[in-house]
Amino acid sequence: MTDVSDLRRRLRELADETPEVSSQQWLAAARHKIRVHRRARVIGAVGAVALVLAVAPTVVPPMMDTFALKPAEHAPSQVRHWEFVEGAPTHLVLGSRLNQPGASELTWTTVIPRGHPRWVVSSMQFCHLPQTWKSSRSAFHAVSYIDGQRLSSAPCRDWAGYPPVNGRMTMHWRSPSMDAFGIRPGEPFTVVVRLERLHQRVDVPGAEFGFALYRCGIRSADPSGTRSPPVCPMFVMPFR
Amino acid sequence: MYGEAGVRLMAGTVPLGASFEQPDLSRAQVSASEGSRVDQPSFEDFVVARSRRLQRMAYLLTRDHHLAQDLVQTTYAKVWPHWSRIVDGDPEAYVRRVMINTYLSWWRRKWRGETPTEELPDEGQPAEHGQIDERTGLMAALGRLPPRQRAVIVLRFLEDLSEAETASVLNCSVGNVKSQSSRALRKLRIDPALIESRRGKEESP
Repeated sequence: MTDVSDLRRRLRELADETPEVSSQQWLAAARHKIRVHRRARVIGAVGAVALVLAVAPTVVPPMMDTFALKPAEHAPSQVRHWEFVEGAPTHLVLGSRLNQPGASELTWTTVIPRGHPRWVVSSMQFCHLPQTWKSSRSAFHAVSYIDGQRLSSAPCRDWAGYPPVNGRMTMHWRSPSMDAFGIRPGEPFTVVVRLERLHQRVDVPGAEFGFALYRCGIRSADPSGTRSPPVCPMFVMPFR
Repeated sequence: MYGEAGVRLMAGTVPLGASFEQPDLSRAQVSASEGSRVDQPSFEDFVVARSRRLQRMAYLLTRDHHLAQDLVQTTYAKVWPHWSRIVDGDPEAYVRRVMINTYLSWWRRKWRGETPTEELPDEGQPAEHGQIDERTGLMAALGRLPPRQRAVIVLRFLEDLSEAETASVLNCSVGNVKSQSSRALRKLRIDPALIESRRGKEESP
């Protein structure tokens, strides 16, 4: 290859080797190819729809369930205060557990999913005592611990302690942000919730208590770069 | 050249079915007659006028007559649905760009039917005047270029496009075209097949 003009000449000679094709042949071939492409598009579209219809029932529910309520298997639907989690906006619920019937301690090993890096995750608790414990209800608490550190405490009430005011009741976020306890997304940790009275563990037959993790906001930073403390909003719980 | 259907089908294409209507390749012309696009070529006109040129370019890209025809036909099938839109601009540039992209996508998907080999499967007979050897050498050298460099060589030196036009077709910068072109020319200058063919030509009486 001596120079560019030589290359140009030889490329043209090479290209001239292409056989002559009549206009009619080109038109016929183009028509045929267009038909083939149309058919392929139709088949592809039908196939895609069929695939979506076939796969969606399998894939979509787990995806929707990722951050939604995962009720404890033992939680009966007739439990009155299951609304504690069931009635909450489930897209905020990361997970929840109720105690086993009759048990006075709940142990739950869980993990905060790797979601938004600035999620603020907090917890909520509730504790209900049977009616017969009404007189002494204020002395009982459901106290949660993470790795031996006290997380939060919720006073126990009896059924009548939750009057359905306008069909709703208000609960506060019960704990500071979980990262204050060194809990990071993706790292498993164990929560222990137990009934206590005067800081002593007690057994109360028929007591129901639960623990839930909620995503309560997005961590923010002021212009100086200092992180503002997360503020979790008041949470209005539907009460059926 | 073509089979009964007037085309060589690639493996995996769907056979022709009776349920598909015959595409009206002159439809752009019909719509054009209603408005200001009276002078714009119909798709049919374009196919008749430009196929030979596109085929030459496709042949140097694919190094196979049948693949070249299939590349041109596939390009037509891709541009035809949008013809009424692209005819407003520069249809030839658009078609050229679609063809290059189709060729590059074939390469990526290994539909090109080419396999890397040290020796050409069909060397042909020794040329009487060294001309066939020269062509074979050039074709082999082109085949050893990466697809984008081959496309740059074809666009720049067969189609005589400027660097800017080539960059537009390949959707890259002018600097990229320059560097690809430079590398490709350097490879062609030292390609053993071309050196051999040139030596044979010089030694022939």
